[in-house]
Amino acid sequence: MKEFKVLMVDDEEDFVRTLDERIQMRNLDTSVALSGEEAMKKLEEDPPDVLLVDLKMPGMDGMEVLRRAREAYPGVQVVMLTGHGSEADEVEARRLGVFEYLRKPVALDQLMRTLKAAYKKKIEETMVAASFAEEGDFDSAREIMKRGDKNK
Amino acid sequence: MKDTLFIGKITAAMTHEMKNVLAIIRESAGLAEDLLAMSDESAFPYKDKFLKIMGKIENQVIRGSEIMAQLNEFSHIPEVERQSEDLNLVLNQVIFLSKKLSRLNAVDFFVEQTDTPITLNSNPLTTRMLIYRTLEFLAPVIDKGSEIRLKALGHTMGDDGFSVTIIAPVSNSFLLEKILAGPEWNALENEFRNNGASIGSSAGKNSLIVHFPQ
Repeated sequence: MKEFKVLMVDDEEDFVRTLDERIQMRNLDTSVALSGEEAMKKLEEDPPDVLLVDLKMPGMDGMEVLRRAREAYPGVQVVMLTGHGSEADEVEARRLGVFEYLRKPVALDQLMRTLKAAYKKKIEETMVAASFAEEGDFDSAREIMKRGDKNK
Repeated sequence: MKDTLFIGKITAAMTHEMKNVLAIIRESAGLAEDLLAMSDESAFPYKDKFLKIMGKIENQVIRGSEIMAQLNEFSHIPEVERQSEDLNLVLNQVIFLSKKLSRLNAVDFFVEQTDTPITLNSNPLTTRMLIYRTLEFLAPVIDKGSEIRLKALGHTMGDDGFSVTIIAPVSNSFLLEKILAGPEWNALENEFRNNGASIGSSAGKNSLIVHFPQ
């Protein structure tokens, strides 16, 4: 039984396929998209727990994928992994609700820790949101799923 | 578009590409290690040697990533005409980018950090170029195996500019005097003057003072 689902989005095919293989060996259920557009299709078909996305890609870039994913699938945590990012990009990604912003090349141990922490956050948010929903406070439940913290 | 801006833009793009190359090398080496870890111990008699090679690849990827990060930062410098920045950080960056110069001449460069930041408002590219040119001038003529020490100074010239003292250990002061009388030194002085800065030797003739007007 795999621990949780990760969708990896990167136009560098050699990189993302190799990383996919390594993460699968570590008992996560992974899939790959080679563009932002393909990622949005896969999100619609089968939303993952965590989305690992590159920033600069032809067509829809990682920032747009992050923005759309946080809007339409607030339960999915997004980790950005980029070789192109500036500080301004990191600020913008954090404003849009990225869970973590990592720079390539990253050590696999660090990446695994980040993915697991992102999944843990997803579970915690889901549980808190569920407790609000049980009490009939659906607005708060929705807000938590969208923003991750009712007080934000 | 200015030449320097164009070079910076292309360099920045290429450093990004190189980060992807390094990431692919790292993951491919990692995958090879993963596969070896899963295989039968006796099936591959060179396991230790293999892991040692993988370790070297990993270390070089880290080294390459650091170089690319610094080069990327440097490539954006021509984008601004003037900026305020801590002179300590400027010196550290120049030293990092001068590693090849250091190795070629068998000398070390070292920055003596000041306790508080010394903020210089200048053209960042010119500042770096002049410090690098000074190191390039000194490195071949000082004693092999010695260390050139750089330290940012506050106001030293009676105006609101800032200076850098560059201590160059030369085994005898006559040598430095001779160096300072040569045509290369005159060319360096002119280069500083043409960029609105100045360079001179200290009273004891054991260091150079580089001055940038504010």
